[in-house]
Amino acid sequence: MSEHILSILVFFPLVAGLLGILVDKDSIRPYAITVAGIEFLLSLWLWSEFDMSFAGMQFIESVPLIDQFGISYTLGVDGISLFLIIMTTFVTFISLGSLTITNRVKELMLTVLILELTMVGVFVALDAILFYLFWELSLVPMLYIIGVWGGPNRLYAGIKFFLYTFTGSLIMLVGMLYMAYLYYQATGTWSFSLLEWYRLQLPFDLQLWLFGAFFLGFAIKVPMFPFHTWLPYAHGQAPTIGSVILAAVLLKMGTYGFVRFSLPLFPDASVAFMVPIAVLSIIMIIYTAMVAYAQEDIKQVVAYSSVSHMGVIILGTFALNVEGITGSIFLMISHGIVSGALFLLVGVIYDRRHTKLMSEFGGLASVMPRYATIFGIMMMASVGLPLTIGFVGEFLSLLGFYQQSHMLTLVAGIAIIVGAIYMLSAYKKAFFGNVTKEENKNLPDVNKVELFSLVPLVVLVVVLGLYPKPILDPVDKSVTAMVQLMQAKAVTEDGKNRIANVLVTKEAK
Amino acid sequence: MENYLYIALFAPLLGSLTAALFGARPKTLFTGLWTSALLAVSWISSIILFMHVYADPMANTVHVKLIDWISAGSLSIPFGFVVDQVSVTMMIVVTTVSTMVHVYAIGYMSHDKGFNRFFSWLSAFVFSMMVLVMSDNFAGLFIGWEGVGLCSWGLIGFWYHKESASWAANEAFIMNRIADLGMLIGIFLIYWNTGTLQYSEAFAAMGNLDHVLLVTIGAFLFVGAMGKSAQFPLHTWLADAMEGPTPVSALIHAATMVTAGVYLVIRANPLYDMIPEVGYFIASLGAFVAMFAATMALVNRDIKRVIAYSTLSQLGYMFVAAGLGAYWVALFHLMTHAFFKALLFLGAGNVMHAMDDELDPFKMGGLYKVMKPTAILMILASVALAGIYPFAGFFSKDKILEVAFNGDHYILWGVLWVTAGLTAFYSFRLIMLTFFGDERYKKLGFHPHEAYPYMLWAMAPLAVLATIAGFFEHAFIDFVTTLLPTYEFYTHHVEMILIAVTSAIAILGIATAVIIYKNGMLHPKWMERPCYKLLSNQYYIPQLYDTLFSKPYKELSTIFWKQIDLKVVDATVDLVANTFFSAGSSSRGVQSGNLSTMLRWMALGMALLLTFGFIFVVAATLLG
Amino acid sequence: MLTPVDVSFESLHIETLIPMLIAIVGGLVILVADLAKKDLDKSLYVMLAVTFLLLDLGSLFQTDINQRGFFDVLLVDGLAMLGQFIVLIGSLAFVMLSFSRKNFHEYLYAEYFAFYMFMVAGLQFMIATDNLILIFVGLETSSLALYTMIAMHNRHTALEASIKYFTMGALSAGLYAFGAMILYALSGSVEIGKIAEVLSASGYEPMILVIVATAFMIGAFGFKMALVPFHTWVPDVYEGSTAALAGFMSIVPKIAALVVIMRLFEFLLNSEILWVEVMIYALVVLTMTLGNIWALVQDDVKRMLAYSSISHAGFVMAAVLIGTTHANSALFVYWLLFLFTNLGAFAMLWASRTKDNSARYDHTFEKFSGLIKTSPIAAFMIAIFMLSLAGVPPFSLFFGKMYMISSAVTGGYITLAIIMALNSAIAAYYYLKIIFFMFFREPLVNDGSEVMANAGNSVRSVIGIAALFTIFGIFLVNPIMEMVTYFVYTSGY
Repeated sequence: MSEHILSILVFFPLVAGLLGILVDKDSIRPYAITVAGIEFLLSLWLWSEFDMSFAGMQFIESVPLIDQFGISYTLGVDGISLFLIIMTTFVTFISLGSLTITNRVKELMLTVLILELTMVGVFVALDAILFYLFWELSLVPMLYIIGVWGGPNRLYAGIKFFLYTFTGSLIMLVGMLYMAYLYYQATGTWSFSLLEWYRLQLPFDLQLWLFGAFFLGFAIKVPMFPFHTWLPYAHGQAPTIGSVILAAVLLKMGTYGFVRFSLPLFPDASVAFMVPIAVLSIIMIIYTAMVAYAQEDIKQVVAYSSVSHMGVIILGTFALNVEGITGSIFLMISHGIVSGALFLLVGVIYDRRHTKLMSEFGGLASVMPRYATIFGIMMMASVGLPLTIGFVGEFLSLLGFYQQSHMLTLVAGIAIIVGAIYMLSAYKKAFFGNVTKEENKNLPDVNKVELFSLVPLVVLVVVLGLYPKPILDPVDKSVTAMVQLMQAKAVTEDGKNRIANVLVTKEAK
Repeated sequence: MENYLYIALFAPLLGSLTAALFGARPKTLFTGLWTSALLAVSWISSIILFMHVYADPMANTVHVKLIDWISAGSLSIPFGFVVDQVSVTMMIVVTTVSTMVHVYAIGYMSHDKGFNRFFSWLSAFVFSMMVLVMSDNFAGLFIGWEGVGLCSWGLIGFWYHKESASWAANEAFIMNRIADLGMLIGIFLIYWNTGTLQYSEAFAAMGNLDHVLLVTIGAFLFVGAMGKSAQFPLHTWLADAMEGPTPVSALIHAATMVTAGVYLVIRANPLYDMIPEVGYFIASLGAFVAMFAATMALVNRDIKRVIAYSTLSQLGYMFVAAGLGAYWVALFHLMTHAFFKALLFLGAGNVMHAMDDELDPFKMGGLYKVMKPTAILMILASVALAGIYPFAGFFSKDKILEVAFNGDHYILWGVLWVTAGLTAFYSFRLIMLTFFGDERYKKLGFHPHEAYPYMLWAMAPLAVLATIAGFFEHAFIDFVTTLLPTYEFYTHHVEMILIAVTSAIAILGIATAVIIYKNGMLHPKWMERPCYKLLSNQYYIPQLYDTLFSKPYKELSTIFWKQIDLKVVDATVDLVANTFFSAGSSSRGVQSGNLSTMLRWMALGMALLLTFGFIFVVAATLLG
Repeated sequence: MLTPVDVSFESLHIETLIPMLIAIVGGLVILVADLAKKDLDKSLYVMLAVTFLLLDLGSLFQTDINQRGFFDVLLVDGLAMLGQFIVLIGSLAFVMLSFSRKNFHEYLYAEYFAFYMFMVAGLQFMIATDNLILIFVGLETSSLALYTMIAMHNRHTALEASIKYFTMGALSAGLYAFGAMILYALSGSVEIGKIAEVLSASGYEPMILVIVATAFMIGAFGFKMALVPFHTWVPDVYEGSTAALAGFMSIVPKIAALVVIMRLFEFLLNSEILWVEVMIYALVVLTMTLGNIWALVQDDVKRMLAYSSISHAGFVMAAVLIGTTHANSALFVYWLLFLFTNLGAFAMLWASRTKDNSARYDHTFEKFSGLIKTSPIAAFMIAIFMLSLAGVPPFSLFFGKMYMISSAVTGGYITLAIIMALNSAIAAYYYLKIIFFMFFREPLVNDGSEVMANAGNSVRSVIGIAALFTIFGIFLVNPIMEMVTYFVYTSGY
């Protein structure tokens, strides 16, 4: 059974979701939560079955889909994707558990389950077209969530979110097709299998073009500056569950894409684009952090903070050494947990007051102490305080990139300052001071249901902050292998020099 | 011994967590007692460890590796702790002071509704501080570094309903973050050049790094130190941090956290020994801050802030010593200062209690009558601070001046010498204004009363230490110099003269203060003087920062959001989309539904095709 | 002095003629049945049509490919097979839609269905020959039949549409005739193959004439394919005719035209005349882009689909431009997948057709708002077809798009590939628009009952089949590709 575990992981939510149509709409909630729970357990089972000592792909399944054109249904998982999958199932489970929406709840539950299928699919797909398939399909349920349960401006937000990402990925599709063509020229057979593509060593100029094509697709998804403007609208209009999943998982697809496709396929191009991309991510880090500081709506603060953090992730990814990439992947997971938690927390207060304006609050710390504490912990994690989950990734990413450029890292390091500024001032506005508004005087503190979803997150934030090893080790292993591959594939002098030569550093250790 | 180490380290954490459980509840005396007790435990085990190490400093240093924390690529950071001469000294200082402060706080905070929360934070702070001093690697140091930052944020902003408090808290956190960036960069440099973050290995490897690199590392690390120890220009947060409850000021902003910077320099002595120029910069900055802070203390009208500035100036002293390579002297002054400064603050706390949190000494006076013990304790502390024989301050501060003189840094010496006088002056200005002279508070209708006895008893040990600590100088030297480099004095011939001169100016300072403030205060016309204004406004630096950084940052952010993000970046996206759409709606006319127009379009199409055809043919024939 | 040609019956390869004969006979049978007994129910006619179309399809599999017949006028090569296959499948599917619940005027006449069969025959002739004259005959037969069928729908818009279509059709016929004449004059032959040989022998001299001929041909088929700027008839005609017929027009006649275009331009594009390539390139880009842009601003779903099918036509014309085997097979793959998706889309419109003739537009977007509440199934059906048209995987048409774009990439037309990609992005907007109306808007007063008002069981089943094909297309793509590639390759394109 465990050899088909990935297919099970991918299709269980869909099947269960479709069966869910039969369930009565008043009892759909427990059903969907159970399904999500089982899915989460399945992912944990995957972890237990996973061979930590092996760097390469595991549980590979491959069934030809369109033989004629080299498209196959190929799944596989390695250290890089493993924890993203677990994070996905976990976040889905949590967000379903804490759901407070009551209208058309059945549709919502099923939509989320289908969304889960696509998200897991993206992280396990090893065939470019299959990847693209899940990648695009994920837009539809998310659009649906925004469109049906979103705020007043949801249509605009939804269409923007859909079209923007759709356009980017279509360009990426052209890139993929060209990549396949190059493979065809080289080997005489069509194939979209990623593992096959890894074996291809491309000339520099081709790498540049292809990198560009893929970059558009990923950068819009991440979203990187200046392609980020769809995100605030999406977050602003989406319901809590939508924002949680969007921030926690969908954005990670982009960064994951960089790690999975751009780096190993186009090592030299990655080197060539390193500095421009680093500059972009620095703009993301500082500029969006400042924009976040200017916000009046606490949800927007969190939304922009996501962009800012994604900047650090990108930076770590393009450190092109094990420390950096491992860090960025860890940061993907930690940001998934932290931002997810923050959006849940915003949802908590929104459910009580139906506003997200910070000016409406103030002094909440005295009214809702537990809430304030949890929010505080999450804030500190997001600020990247040591011994919280947020620090490890940020530290490693910056540390890694420092090897590439001192100055840029120094500037990027401002992240830890500006991050503190917008977070602390937001916290101050909402939680400190005296309770001014009458309706805030007796707000109920977090209830059982909310704690059910928040406490696990808090625990994770602390535990993984104290002991990230179980995640870091497998990631580190796979990343090391990948960096070696890049080093071996690099064709340009610059590439050879820039990409960390793992073997050497290992010896140094 | 490992177990004692763990006890010393984790007892405060345990206390903090237990207190946290009651965090949201109303006051439960239990938390106060429990945390204090655990701190006492931690203190005892520190003592035991001290004994152990003292027995044979070379052999008996305790070094443990708990677990691996972060390992990626060739980086591997364990949770490792070391108890050696330096860290054990720090442990003693920290645990001693914090135990006393805890006990004291039980009384001080007894009427506060956040009682439990307070002790949770306070013990958490002690834990972080222990991590900071006990770690055996830079990452561990950084954990403690940020941890104390967090706790000081929570404690400064403890009365979060006060705007000023929460503002000060954020200011402190953010300013420290700025410095931490420097520290972080320093750590990166160390890692990429030595391949490790363990103190021992890193320092060993630094030996064969090129000089410029070492200077950069040293500089960046010191930036970190500047933040925590509130050195100029990152000093403004310390004065504002006085918004926190007084025990906090005593523990964090006098005795322990602010000295972390000094500790870092001492800890990194192998590095700074290799780069004397940076050391000299540190020393000069220290001297400057010493004077700079002292001047601000001269005129301030807030007892806590006066003491805060004196702390600042004393930190300056320490940096002078550390910068000039007299690490043990720095550490020594750090220790003595911790005692008498904590004492001073706790005294101030009593006064505040007596005066219903009134801080302006000009509204006090003559309190000696009502609260004699406090007065005595504070005077004692002030004398120590002023550096009068035989109190602790005398020995340590005097040594620092001697160091400055010894290194032929006469300017530094001069600055410090004058500062010594200023120190004596403002300390006693405070004493006089608070405890003597006519009882101005009566008019204002205050009914001062002495604090609970056990609060005074909590201060007593500190008082004792502040008095006698100086006499352990030689034992101390022998102990720490087994780890820290020894420092050779060539000034024995002038030693006595120096001491005389220094003591003279100190006494002079005290005398002037007493004379001026003997009866009533300074003549009002003084306060009109520009120099007075300059000082009382802290050289206008806070306002400067506000106009130079805070305001522009806020405005810029708004511009970025409203102007750039919405009006430029986002607008372009929409523009692209809208162009297509409007192109559609504008060219709809093509579809008039009128048959003849339709035919015309077809005809036009044909015409175009043919024309291009002809053009092509012509072109082809011309080009051949 | 003419000598009578005597040809042995075997050499005629009469079997190549059978498929068209079946269609014609079918038409005649329907007429006879009508003569025999008046006012028979339409279901009889429909079933007769279906039967004969099935026979036709069956006979198609009997004929072995790559042979000429009937005085070498007929040419049964891979393209012919594929073309006829698609034509017949399409005709079958769309004739089934006549089983609408509401009984419309034209269905009362047997002629309607007879014309239908003749039209099919005409298209088959068009496809299964490379003889310009026979192509003309087929073209005209089918067109004339089509004009009449449109007109038979008793609405003033229908008549208007028919007239417009007819007039412009006449013009294009003229263009065709003129083009063919010049080609004959140049080569002394009416067989495309021979023309190609002669022209390439003569080095395409005199170039000016070749260009003029090509221009006219482009004009003629530009009209049939509705390439900008020869597209102007499309919206009005689609609007005037029933959704069923409109859908038919968007698929079946176009494939016939496409086959001829492939035959004709295969050699013209390989000629040294750069102009041809440039012109086609321009047409392709213009058609898909403008088609999209106009579709953006429509208020009526049917008109929107009309413009979108223009854009799709432009999309496949790219294959002709690229002209590699990969591209030509991509063309057929795309069209097969497009057939079913578009069938579904138009069938849904057809199902929602009401009899009130007051409104100019039958299918305004508002009509569909909040459909998810009133009739979810219908909403999901439409959604699936729209997503497929937008090229969202895993729905079938995505693979068509993908294969087509990849053919552009392999053909070295990277820019074109990117333009195609971007166009798909633009198109997504208007396909989503209706989804937004259906799912994210509150329903209007009406209780969406009318949305399936016209849906008889067979219509429902057609929709169902189309939906299945669209959803599970991913599993059919491989066999389709294999078949198509085989046929295209064997016929040397």
